[in-house]
Amino acid sequence: MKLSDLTLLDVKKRLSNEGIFFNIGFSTVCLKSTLPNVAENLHAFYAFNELAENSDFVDFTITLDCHWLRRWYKSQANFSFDGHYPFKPLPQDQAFAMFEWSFNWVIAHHSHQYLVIHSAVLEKNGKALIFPGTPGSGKSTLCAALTGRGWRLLSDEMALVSRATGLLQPIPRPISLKNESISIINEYVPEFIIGEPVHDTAKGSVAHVRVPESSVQATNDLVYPSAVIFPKYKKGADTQLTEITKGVGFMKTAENSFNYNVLGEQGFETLGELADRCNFYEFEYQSLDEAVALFDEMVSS
Amino acid sequence: MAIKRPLLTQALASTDNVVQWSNQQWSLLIRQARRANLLSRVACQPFEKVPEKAQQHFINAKTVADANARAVRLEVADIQRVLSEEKIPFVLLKGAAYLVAGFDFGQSRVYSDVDILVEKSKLNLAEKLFIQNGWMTTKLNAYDQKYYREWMHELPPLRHMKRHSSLDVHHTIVPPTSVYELEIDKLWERCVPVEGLADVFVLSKNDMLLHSAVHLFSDGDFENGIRDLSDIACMVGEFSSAENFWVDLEQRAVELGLIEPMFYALRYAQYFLELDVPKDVLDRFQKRAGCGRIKLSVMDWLFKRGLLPNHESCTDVFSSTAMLILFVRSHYLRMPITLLMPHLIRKSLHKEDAA
Repeated sequence: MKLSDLTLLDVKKRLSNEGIFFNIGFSTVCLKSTLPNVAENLHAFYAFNELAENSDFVDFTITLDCHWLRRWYKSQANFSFDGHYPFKPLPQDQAFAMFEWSFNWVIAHHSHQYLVIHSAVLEKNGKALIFPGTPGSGKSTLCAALTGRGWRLLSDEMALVSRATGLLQPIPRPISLKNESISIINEYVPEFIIGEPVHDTAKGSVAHVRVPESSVQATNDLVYPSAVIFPKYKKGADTQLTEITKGVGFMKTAENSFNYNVLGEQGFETLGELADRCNFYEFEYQSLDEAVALFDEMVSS
Repeated sequence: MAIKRPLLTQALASTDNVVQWSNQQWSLLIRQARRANLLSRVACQPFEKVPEKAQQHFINAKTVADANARAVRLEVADIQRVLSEEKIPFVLLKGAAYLVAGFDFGQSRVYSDVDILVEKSKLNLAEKLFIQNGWMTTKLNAYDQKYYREWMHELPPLRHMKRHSSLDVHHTIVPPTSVYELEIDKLWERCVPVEGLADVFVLSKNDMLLHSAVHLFSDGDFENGIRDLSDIACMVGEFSSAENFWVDLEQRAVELGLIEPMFYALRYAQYFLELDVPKDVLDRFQKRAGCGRIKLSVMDWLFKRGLLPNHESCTDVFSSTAMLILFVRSHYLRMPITLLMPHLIRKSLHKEDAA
């Protein structure tokens, strides 16, 4: 049963009582919240995720709530994970964005069976590309454009490279668009369901894109990575793909990893295997059409 | 009114306790253990059968503990390098000591700061060396600096500018203003050199245990209460096979004036973690500690709440009251009332710089 098989009222009720149990990627999550808008957003953006049974093992129990004193006056959203409050509260209209950011933190800190790389991951024709990116590199925009043109989304935010097998574990979740890219993607993929933008967040205005059902359904289809591409959006730039050496690519990928240091020698091994398997590129672009055509071409052979 | 024994302490106490557990119970165990900073230690328990997904969390926790151990070893090596410039000997305390001394339970402990002990006469020189080598003092306002330097047993915490690691430099193990009148020279007399690191020491086994007890039962911060109690249970587990262990421990506790905290440590380690303490030993500790029936029932009420993880599944309606009383108690043990009142009033007016 999927989350969308529940009515919005059901979702709301479960959220404010025992919590809603559902699967995201490899994990089972229990989310509790009494805040307004969380149920609506969850119902819309995690529509295709499978519900879990209350008797299943839960990997992560998460609460999004508000101190009772701040319920009516300048109301806030506060994220807690087993009694830890890793973040300062945010204005309540950012509650769902906070869930997204916080869940990134949860995964990055508690999933050391994977080498976790800050990147978008997409697949077509059985070939998966990893796009590591610092904020502003245009990673999410490129990711949304490729998803809109038929690529399978594995993640907008993190590559999970299994230490045991070298395979990528998909963890498809809403794509988070910022500022200008919201209207760019709105025009580029009119059929996308994009949420109402939330303004004045730490990252400016943020809006979420619902992941296509086919990507969520393929959550358990693991795939090997075949290239690592460092994107850089640049106004007026010609589309340009430049291969870099494996050594440089290895180091740049390590810099973009959340847990390379935690994994120590094992991180080195996993990244080494990934480097054996992948080519590394730097990629400058402005035109989304040209970018999509180039990557379509790359995986067509 | 008794509070329920949480899954966490059951799992730490004995692997037999978990045999019938459901998926939900394993999930809850992991949540409580995460809250208490004990997941890596729970992960080392030789459980016979663990659900696959829970097992993955255990493996991950061990990965984190290994990373922590690597970082602490590097930190210790760097501290040794810096202090060796002036040949200043130092004793590693708490987590770093358990690790470097090679105890099994020291490998599975996750913590962020390193604590060391130097002689009081070397304190200023040590601080100067640290500042010259990349550490910075963290409490910048004048009152906090005075609080640490005049009344506490340590320098204001240092932080490494690049690694962001914390370093607490102590000159004794209890505040000089506290009710415990401990002669630190007695600890130096028995400390044990660490192999391969010149001028680096750890406390003798019994002193390590007594330090852990006085730290836990006189400090108001119970954030890691059950972890520290588990340290004590692990230490007793490792040390108690030695001949005359209990007699020596009792004698040493008397010598150092730490009978009372050691009594509580043994009592609650037995209560929560099923630690094997001979009944006559416990009775003798209780008698020497002067802990009568009424006082003991008050202490039980407090510690049976205060020591548990601050997790929604481990607290009852009295937990926050117990925590508050324990907090006040710790301050009362730490400084005489004439110092304490002005300190607390000042702190309540300047909340942001709470020490």
